Amino acid sequence: MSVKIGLEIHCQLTTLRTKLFCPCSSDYRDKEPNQLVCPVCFGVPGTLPVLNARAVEYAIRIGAALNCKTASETSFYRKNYFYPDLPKGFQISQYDKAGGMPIAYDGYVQLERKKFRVRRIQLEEDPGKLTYEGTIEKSSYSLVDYNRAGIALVEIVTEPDFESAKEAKVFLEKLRSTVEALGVSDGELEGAMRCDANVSVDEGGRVEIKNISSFKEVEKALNYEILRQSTFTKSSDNHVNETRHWDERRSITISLRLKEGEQDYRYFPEPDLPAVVLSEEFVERVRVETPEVPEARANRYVRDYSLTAQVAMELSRNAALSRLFEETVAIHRNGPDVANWITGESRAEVQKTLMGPGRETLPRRLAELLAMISQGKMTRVQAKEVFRGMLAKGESASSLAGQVGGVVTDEVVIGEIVGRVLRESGAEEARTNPKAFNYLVGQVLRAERRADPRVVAKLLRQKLEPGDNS
Amino acid sequence: MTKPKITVEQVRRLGDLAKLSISATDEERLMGELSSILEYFEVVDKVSDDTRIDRQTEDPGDLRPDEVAPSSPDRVMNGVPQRKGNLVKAPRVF
Amino acid sequence: MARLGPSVREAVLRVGAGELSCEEHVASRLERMPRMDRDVHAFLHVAGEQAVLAARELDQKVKRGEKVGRLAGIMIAIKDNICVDGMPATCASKILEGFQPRYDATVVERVRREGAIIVGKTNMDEFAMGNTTTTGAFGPTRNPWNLERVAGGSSGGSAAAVAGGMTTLALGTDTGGSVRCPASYCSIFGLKPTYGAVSRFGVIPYANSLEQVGAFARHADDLRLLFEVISGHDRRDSTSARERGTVEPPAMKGLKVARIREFFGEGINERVRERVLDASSKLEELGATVEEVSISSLGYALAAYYIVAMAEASSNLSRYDGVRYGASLEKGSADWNAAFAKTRTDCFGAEVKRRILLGTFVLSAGYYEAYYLKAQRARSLLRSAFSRAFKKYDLLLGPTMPTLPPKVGERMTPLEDYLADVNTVPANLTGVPSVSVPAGFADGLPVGMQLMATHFAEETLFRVAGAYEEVTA
Repeated sequence: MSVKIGLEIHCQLTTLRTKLFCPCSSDYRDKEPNQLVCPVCFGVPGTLPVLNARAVEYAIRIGAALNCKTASETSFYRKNYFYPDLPKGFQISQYDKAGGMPIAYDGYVQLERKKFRVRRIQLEEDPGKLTYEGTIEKSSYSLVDYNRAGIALVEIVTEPDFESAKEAKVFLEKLRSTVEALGVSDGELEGAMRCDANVSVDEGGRVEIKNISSFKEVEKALNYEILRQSTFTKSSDNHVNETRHWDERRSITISLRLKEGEQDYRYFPEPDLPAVVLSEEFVERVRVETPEVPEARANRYVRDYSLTAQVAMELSRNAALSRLFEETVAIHRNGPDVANWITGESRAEVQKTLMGPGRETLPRRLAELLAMISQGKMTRVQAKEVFRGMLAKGESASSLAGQVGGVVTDEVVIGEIVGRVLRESGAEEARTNPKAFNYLVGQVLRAERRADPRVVAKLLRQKLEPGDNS
Repeated sequence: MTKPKITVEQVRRLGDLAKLSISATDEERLMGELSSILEYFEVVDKVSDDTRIDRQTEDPGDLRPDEVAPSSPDRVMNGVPQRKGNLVKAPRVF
Repeated sequence: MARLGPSVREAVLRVGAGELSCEEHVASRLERMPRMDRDVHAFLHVAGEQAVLAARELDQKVKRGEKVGRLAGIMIAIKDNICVDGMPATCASKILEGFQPRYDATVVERVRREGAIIVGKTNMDEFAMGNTTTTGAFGPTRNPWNLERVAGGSSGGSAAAVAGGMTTLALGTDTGGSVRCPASYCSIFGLKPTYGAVSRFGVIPYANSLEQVGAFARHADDLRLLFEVISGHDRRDSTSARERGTVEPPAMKGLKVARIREFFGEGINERVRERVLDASSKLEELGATVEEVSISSLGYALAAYYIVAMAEASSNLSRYDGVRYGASLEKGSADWNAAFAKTRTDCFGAEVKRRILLGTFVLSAGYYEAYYLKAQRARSLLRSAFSRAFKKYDLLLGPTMPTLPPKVGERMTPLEDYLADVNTVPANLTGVPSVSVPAGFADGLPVGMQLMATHFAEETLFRVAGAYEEVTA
């Protein structure tokens, strides 16, 4: 069985302050109905749209992150249809036919070894929201809240490159983390990311599925649809192009039974908005200001700081930890060392500190601590204690160093402890097994946490040498 | 008369798309009227498809900084024909 | 008819000097208005109280010794498709009955700021679709020169109000000739500015890519003044042009004028042709050289204009569904498709419906390329032909309207009606500025001469119109 799935994702640019074409606040969630409206987004006759500059920048960011080409000039089109939630009787959108040019096009997303092509990325406005008294079926009228009308949406359209519902789901999750990392959308907000899908099984008809409310539902809806279509493989029904509606409650898709060719959106260029020229300088500036997505950042860490892929990814997924890492490694130039301290056992405390007032000075303080270790002014065991103190109290490494005492390097003192440990634990295995050797070092350090580990190791090695019976 | 440029079915379909009801008697009349106008329009057929479509305006449009201005619900809601509280009443969709 | 009278600049000086009580002046003119407008029907709404109040405030300002604006105390009428805060804006359509915008159009803001007194909203063809001001839902406007004749359209109310002496100035909109046609039929000056010169914010659109707010006045210099007030960049209209430095216009002596051959050909009324040729000779007497030019792509203009205008209109008029403003019909519990269709079918007039259907057709799948895109290509052809012509000539000249004003109620097919716009639509398709200048009378009915200049060369038009006015008035 061959399955082809294409996705059409609508992503609200939730970090914008205003709507796409008017300066009304875009913070519409949990607001009284019809309070965030003005003559423009309410579609009052005579008003005109004025494009939000930052919305254009954000769409370019998404395009760049999905490896798209950015248009040198982009234009808006009217998509004409009627519905009570649509204030103007058309939606201002973009179009990739008849001379139209969306903001970004021809991109891809790489997941494991497979590339999923992105056809286009464009800006458009959200319609208002319909509610009903009682249920949709029983209500004799509908009620409209236009607070959402005019909210900026980015539409991302993929090629039909997905071969299973699982692949689609992985793509969507990756997309969500990408837009979050780009600082353009919080995909967790209710209704911030919505998805339509088209599915065809064994070269059959192309079926559009609309009204999938969340990414969780996408996988369910797609699996249902694949099953439904594959049971029709031998029948003639298989070659019908149609639009179906995902019924979340019943977990099935329902045909919308549209009349033949009923949807004719009559796209044409929006005469109230001149084409927007996206100069090379402008696009470059947007790229420079765009936060790095986690994958790109992790690759850079592996390349420039010799981190392992796993540690690099762990840091990259978190913007605050990444910043701490980069600021610290700029002073203390040992990448793996810095990364291990940040992602190690105190990670929770580190993250807590990064949300408080100690955040600003932490890179300098951590670098100082690591320098003291490498200069032998402090043992790692001591340093762990100091680090915890630093995080909790916001003090510097040097001011806390006194409290953990100095480093003991006296070979007589340490030699005594080494002897005791060897008597208690036995030495045979440690002669050949490095793990056993390290265990012995640990035992010594437990007995005297100030002991310089380099001296401990040296003395242990001497005493384990054959012929030394002292 | 030459063949009409538009059929009664098409007139009906245009009415559907434009949300205009067209009575049976109007369908015939409109078919004639629209056809003669469309026939006149066909003079543009002679324009070569190689002709580039220019921009209408020379100046780029102003983009707006992403800064909030207070909304003005009073300026739009007072004129709404039918309301239910703060919501706008519209015909049923199901 | 008030052909003559003091210029606006003179009147403003008198107001500023306190020689004239604005309140008395405005009140007395408003008092005479119902009688004057009874037969003409130029106004859909008279703003009596607000106008008197604004005049009183102006008088107090003068008494306090404050500086007054460039239009202080001047009465101005506003076409009913331009939004004035707190006044109705019906576009002469039942579908906008009851609609009162709560904001000022940019042009309204600008005339108010200069002290103009808004006297009311004027009649028009429904949604500006027509050239007669007889297609509106609230009755026709008649020509003040001859009440059996139309005033022209679609801004017929504004033109008739100026020609009939009910107001000094008026604003209209010109999508395909809607200012110049009634200016011509009513024997006054009418300007369609360069596309982008005047903000469209607050103008209820018919066809966005073609229309501009235009001005009506009895003198060329008044037209200039009103244009200076309303023009200029506006951040609320993305198609509004940036400010440009002024270019010294050519002198009357040696001015290069070309008569457009196509405007004098087939379909023109013989008496109209004579009058406009006379006017063209007058320009020669004033020192201009007049040649003839042929622009073959004008043959596409009317079709291209109607295709583009109807396409845009079909989309612009989709917002009228009875939900958010305007007409509200008792819909019972009809579903939304039926309810929308009922409101729209009952409340739009026949011509509006025809244009919506045609506009829907030319944008629909399978026809978009053959009609809409072809029309846009034709438009580009015409634009380049015009820019070639303006490399050689300062002005292009022809009759504004090919015929004399028809009688009210004269039966015409829609297509015959459209054909009357053949000389005015090229300026809208190409975006160039154009004026209609009174050019005498034929059979007792006004004739207008149309002048077109290159983009943003309005000053050339005012100079020539002013020079012509001086020797003919």
